[in-house]
Amino acid sequence: MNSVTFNNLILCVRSHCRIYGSMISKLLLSIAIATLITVPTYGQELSEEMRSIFAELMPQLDKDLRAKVQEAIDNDRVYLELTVDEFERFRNHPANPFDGWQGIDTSTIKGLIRLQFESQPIRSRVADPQERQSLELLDSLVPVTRRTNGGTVKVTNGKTQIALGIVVTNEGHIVTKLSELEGCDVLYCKASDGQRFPAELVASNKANDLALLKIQEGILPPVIWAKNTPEIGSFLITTSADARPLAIGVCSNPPRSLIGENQAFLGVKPVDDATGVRVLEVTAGSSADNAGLLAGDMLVALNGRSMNDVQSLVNEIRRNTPGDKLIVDYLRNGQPKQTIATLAGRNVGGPTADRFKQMETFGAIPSKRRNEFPMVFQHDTPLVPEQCGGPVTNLDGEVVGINIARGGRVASYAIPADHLQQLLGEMLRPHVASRDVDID
Amino acid sequence: MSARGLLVKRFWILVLAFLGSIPSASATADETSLERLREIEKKIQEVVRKQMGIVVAVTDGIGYGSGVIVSEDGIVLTAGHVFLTNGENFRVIFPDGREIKAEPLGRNLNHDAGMLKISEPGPWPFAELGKIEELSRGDWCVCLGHSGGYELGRRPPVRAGRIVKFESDQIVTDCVLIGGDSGGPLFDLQGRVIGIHSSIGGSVAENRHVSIDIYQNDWNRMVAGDRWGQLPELAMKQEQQSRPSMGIRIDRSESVAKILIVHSGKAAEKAGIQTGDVVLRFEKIPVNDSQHLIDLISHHQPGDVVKLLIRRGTEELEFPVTLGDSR
Repeated sequence: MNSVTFNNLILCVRSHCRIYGSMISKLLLSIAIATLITVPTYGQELSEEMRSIFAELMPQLDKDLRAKVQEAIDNDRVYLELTVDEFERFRNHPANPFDGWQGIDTSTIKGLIRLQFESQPIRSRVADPQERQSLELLDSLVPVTRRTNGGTVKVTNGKTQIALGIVVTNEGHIVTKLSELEGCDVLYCKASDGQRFPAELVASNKANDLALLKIQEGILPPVIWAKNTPEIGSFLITTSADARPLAIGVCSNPPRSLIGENQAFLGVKPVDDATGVRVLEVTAGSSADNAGLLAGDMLVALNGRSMNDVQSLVNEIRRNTPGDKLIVDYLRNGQPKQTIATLAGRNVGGPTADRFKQMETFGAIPSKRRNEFPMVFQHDTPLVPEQCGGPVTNLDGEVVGINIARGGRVASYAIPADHLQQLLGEMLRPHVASRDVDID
Repeated sequence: MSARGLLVKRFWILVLAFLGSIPSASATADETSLERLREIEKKIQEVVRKQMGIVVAVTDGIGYGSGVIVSEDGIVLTAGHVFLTNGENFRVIFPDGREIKAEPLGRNLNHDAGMLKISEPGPWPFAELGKIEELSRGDWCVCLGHSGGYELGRRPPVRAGRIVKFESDQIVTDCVLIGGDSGGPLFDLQGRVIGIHSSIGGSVAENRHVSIDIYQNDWNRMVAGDRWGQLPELAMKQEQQSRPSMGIRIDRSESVAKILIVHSGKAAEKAGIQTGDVVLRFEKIPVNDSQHLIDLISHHQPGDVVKLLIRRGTEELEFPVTLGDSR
C-alpha cells in the first residue's frame, strides 16, 4: 500500500479492529490511510456477501448514491464509480456508511473516482485443518448427521437453495424459515437422496418466522427430537440433507426472548400537533440529543418519508435497528433544517451501535429477519442465511431446535425443540381442520 | 537437536499413536473421534460452570468491555484499550448483576494489556493462569465475554473454538468475538486463563487475544499501576498525522501527473494550483506520472517549501508550495 497522503480521504483500509463496546473504536478505526494504492484488480463480479451489504446500505443513502449502488448491483460490479462532485458529496455526507468500513480501496480512473470493495469470502471459505470447522472434524460427525439428514430438506425456489427445512410428520409436512420464502412463486424440497418435490405453504407463524410446507407426494422420515434443551457449552451440529454436516458450534446462552432486544431508539418524546409532529422533550445523551434536536422542533420527514403523526414517526424508527442512520428533516422556528441521527440500542449509544453493526458483518452475513423472536437459544455456529430453517442437533443426532436466524458474527439463533413442537401443534391444527371440512 | 534426532522423535510419536489406537481397533475411526468430541464437550461445560461467575463486565462509566478475576484479592485482567474512553467511574459488573467499584491499575498498551482491582477486599473467586508453552495449534479453548456490553439477565455468551495460530504477543483463535468482549478471558480446557480478548479481523477465524505471558512478564509493573506504551493503531495514526500533504487528488488514468481535485484551504490551493494543472517538475526533477509525484512528496516533511513546475493550458508556471500536514 502506498502510504503517501493526498490528504483527506477518510475511507479507510484497516487490518483489524478493536472490540471494545464504546466510542473509542471510532477514533481508532478511522485511521485514514489515504489510498492511492497500487492498481486494484478490476472486473471481479459482485459477491453474494457484497450484494447483501449493498442491499443493507441502500436505505441509508441519498437518492443519487442509491442509484449508483443500484447500478453496481444491476451490473454485477464490486465497485462504485463517482464523479468528483459526487465523491466529495459522498465523503462529506455525515451518514457516509463506508466511513471506517473494511476493505475499501479508491483509485482514480478517467476522471472518475472508483471505490473498490473487498469482502472476505464467507460462503466459499475453507477452514484450515486446525480450525473447528475443518473438513476432518466435520467428517468425524457423519455418524451423527446420519440420524438427521434423511429428515432434512433443502428448500429451493427452483434455481437456488433459499433455506433448509425439517420433516416433522409422516404426511410430508416440513417446517422452515418463513421470511426466506418471500417473493418465491414456486417452492421445492430437495431430499437427501436428491429427489425434488414440489411443495406448498400450508401455514405460517410470523412472530416466530416459521412456515409449514407440505410436499405433495413422497414420504420422508421425520427427525428425532431431543428431550432436553441443550446445556450451555454443549456441542451443536447444523445438518443439511447431505452426509457431511454444515458446521459445528456450541450453545452460548439458554433460551430467552429477543423481543425489544434490538429495538432502535431516537430519544425524543413526540406529540401530535396541528401541523405535524412536535418534539416535546429530548432525552439527554440520546441519539436525538447527539444529532442536535431540541424540544420544540417540528419533525417533517425521516429518511425522506414525511411524518404526519406520531404513529408514522414510530413506524419509521421501528423499520431500523441500532446503528442505522436516520436523515431527519425538521423545522426550527419555521426554518427547514436537516440532521443525521445514529439510532441507539437498548444498551448502547448511537456511535457504539454504529460500530457494532459493522462488526456483525465481519465474516458473517446476517439473516434479513434476525430479531424479535419470542423464544430462542443462542449458539456460535457460523451459518449463512440460506442454511437457516433446518435442524440443529446434539452429538447424538437428536434435534434440539430449528436454526431460525444468523444474528451476526458471534450469534446464530435457534427455536428450542420443545417450543417449536408446541408451535407446530398450533400450525398443524388448522390445516388438519380444513382437510376435515373437505372430507365433509 | 540434529535432524536425525528429530526424525526419530517424530517416528516414536507415530508409533505411540498407533499403539494407542489398537484397543479400539474394532471401532471405526469416526467413533473414536466422536468420543474425543464428547470428552471435549464435557470439559467445555465444566469450564463454563466453574468460571462463568468471575467473568465481569468492565466499565469506566462510558464504555463497556469485559474482564476476568485472577486473584483472591480481586485483580481483574482486561484489555489495555478498555481504559481509553477516559471515563472515571470504574466498576465491574458480575453476570448476576452485582456492581462493585474498581480501581484501574497498570496497562501495557504496546500489547493491549490492562489491569484493574476490585475495590472491596474479597476474598474473590478467581481463575488460575495457564502456560503458553503448554499450548499447541488446534487445541480447543473456551471464550466468555459480555458481547455488546452488559445486558441484565443475559449471561456472557459461551463460545468455543481452537487455536488457529500464535503470534509474538497474541493467540489467534476461531472463538468468535465482537464489540464488548474486549478484555474477556480465553480459557484452556482446564479453565485457566490463556488470553484476553483484544481485536478481530474480517474472518470468523481471526479473533485475537493478548497472550497471558504478556501479563505474567509485566505483572509487578502493572500491579504497581505503571502505564506505558501505545496501541499499534494509535502509533500508526500519529505517524499518519505527520505526513506531508499537498491537498490534491491526482487522476491515475492519465499518463502524466494531472490534478483532479484541489482541496479547498490546503497547501496546493494556497499556492495557486488549479484543477487540470499538470505537474511537470517537482524540485526540478521531471515528474513521470502520478505515482512518481506521490513518491517525491513522501520524501519531504510538512512545512517544507517545494517548487513545482506546472503546465496550465499552453503556459508553464512555477509555484512554491508549502507542504501541509495530513492532520
